[in-house]
Amino acid sequence: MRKALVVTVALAALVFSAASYAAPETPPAGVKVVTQGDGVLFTDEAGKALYTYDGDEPKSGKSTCNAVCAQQWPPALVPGEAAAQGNWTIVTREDGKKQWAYKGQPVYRYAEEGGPGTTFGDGDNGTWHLAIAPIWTPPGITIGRSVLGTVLADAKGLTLYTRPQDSVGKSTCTGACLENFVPVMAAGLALGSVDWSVITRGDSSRQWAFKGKPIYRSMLDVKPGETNGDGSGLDEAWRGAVLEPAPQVPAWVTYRQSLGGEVMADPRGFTLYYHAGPRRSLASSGAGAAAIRKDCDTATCKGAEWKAVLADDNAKPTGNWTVMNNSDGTRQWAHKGVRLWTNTIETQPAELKGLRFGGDRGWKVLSRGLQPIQNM
Amino acid sequence: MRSLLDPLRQLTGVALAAAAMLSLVGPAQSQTKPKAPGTLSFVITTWNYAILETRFHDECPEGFTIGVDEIWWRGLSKAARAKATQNGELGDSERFIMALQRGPNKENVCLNPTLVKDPPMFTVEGPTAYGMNLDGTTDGKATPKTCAHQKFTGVDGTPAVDNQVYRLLGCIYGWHKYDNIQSNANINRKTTGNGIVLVEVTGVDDTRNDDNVSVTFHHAIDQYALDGQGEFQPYASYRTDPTLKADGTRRYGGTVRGKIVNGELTTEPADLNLPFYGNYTYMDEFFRDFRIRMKIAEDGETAKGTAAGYYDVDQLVYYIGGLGVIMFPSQADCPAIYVAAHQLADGYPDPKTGECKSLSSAYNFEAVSAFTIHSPDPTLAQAKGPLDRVLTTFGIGK
Repeated sequence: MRKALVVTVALAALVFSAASYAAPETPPAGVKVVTQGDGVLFTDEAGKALYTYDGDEPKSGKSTCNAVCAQQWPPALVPGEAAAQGNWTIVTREDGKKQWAYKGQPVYRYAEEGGPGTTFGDGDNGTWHLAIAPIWTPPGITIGRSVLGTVLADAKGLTLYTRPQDSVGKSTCTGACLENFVPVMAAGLALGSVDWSVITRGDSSRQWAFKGKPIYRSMLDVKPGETNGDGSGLDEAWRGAVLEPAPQVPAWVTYRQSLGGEVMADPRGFTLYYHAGPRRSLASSGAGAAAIRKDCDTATCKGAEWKAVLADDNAKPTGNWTVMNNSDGTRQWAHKGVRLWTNTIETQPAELKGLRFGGDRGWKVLSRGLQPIQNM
Repeated sequence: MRSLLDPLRQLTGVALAAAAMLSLVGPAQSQTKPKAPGTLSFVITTWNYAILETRFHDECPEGFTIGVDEIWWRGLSKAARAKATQNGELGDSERFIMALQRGPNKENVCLNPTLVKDPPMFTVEGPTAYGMNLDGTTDGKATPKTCAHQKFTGVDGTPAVDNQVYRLLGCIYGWHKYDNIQSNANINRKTTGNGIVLVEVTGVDDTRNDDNVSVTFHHAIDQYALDGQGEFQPYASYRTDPTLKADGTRRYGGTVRGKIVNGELTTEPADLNLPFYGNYTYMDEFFRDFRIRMKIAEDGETAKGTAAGYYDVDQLVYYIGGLGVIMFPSQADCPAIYVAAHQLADGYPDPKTGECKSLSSAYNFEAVSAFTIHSPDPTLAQAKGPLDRVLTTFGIGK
């Protein structure tokens, strides 16, 4: 009986791992793929990122983003007579048009996307996310996001680490080396798959390794997304297990701990703000929730309280950071297509005085992490 | 949290083992070993303006003050009311927004409290208040650091208590025990983990009586540890915020001297910066002559006390002015508060005008015991390599 159980579990594990060996699916007509460290990103024909929306019920066969919402988030439409294939299915929209869905989630473009390679819509309103097929990870290991980029994480979302001194398939971390790091253990019957393998440590315990490198959890991290273990240790060698590096930021951007979390700041450490405009929920009208941006420039958004983050002639756009022309002739830094500002009431680095509940709540802070700074 | 506690447990285990070994050596030797000073830490769980409410609100003999919406409503004719509210169809909160935007050019009068002149508000006239004697006088007469003002008698009988913030806010419904301003702020902190204050007491030889301890007020960057019932868990670990100010000094973490008498910690007055989050407002609260009186429970798990100090009028006006519709049920009027706050200010006169710019204030708070985890010094993080870190640590070459 026991033997039968072992065989069953082993077979199940093989099936599970065999699935991850499957070759990447061919995208359907009108969809392209970009292979990244953390998975396969789906784009439209022009190479612009596709997104999914939390407001859509998976596998419900319909999209809840219509009307005004669809102006901001145009659906990725099915061209011609293309048919469903693999994980790609077709949903029929309110207006009768056909839209692609990946694993049951309708996919969209973002109307204000900067171009191929930018991800202006990612994280918008906390409900829009890049359409991505993530790499396979063993049970108990997830893909997390941090300031370093997309990283391997444990089940709680805590960042995982590697150590350069470890050789492929062998951990050299014992004794004092383990003071602030814990090997990520593999279950007794766990099997490797693709980039994942199981190594046996000196004490006979089994540890997961990614691309041959043993992985660890850091005792220095408490919250998901933290990377306190990166560069730590006496030899400062520990490194976050980064799958896809964080998008580049201009050299002048700094990071500061504020009362609401870590924020992006100007070279003085003063918090960076943008004006997202009123965000209206159109769900009640049946049109689906929409995030309506209302950017403003130095002419339309001027006021004693706000100072534009101006760009000089040598400013070089990078990733989601661009330079926009203002109607008064100045040039202003923008992030994800929205102009950046500092608040002139603030007198110290990392203040959040621009977030006044009773004021214009369209102002938002450029937070470093994934969680937006709360101002309700 | 467990990952941080584990090393602490290890250390505790080592300490216990060491203690056991010492006990084996014999009583004579162990008695000669001086006991190392210990540390007590508490995380503040609730923080409220110290508003004294008597059973029949005798402190407000003319009743509670009226709010910004009531003032707006009273100023409209019946026809104007009908026009403004779609013949009475608009909800109260929508009316409140209109009431806020009654500046000459529809400016928000809470963000711009000097644009309109409203009727004066009711303020506290009762003789008793929470608080401490901040100016050192018995009669509230003017001193080089204060303006003449009326004193209270403390709720515990302490004479000559100063608490002009109570005099200002004590007759506004929203600041009373059962209304939303204070409770919402505490809920905000509890649910977000923002604006948490840690009180770390070091150099403690005796947790019940010690005439010389150091008390540091940190900002904690971790969320509250709550149990399954949503209650604050004692003995959780909290990391400190190492943020620096523009001048390179610590933004938080001010240290003052204190003493413990029969389990009650009191601190000497000092200027201090504390983090604050409440009602969706993030701000630093700067206090002058700040001090606390905190009674530590016998078992050391909880504490409660009163804090007091001078609080700038501008800070208070900024906070209240930014509350927006949160203030809707509170019956508060920003322009009237602005005027009254300046009239009641009793501390730190402007050297040029002589007008006082700060209000004496008091706060009641509760706390549970905690562990303080000191975050790395950010100046170390800026150091380039191991040698640089060592040099920075020991201040060599700087």
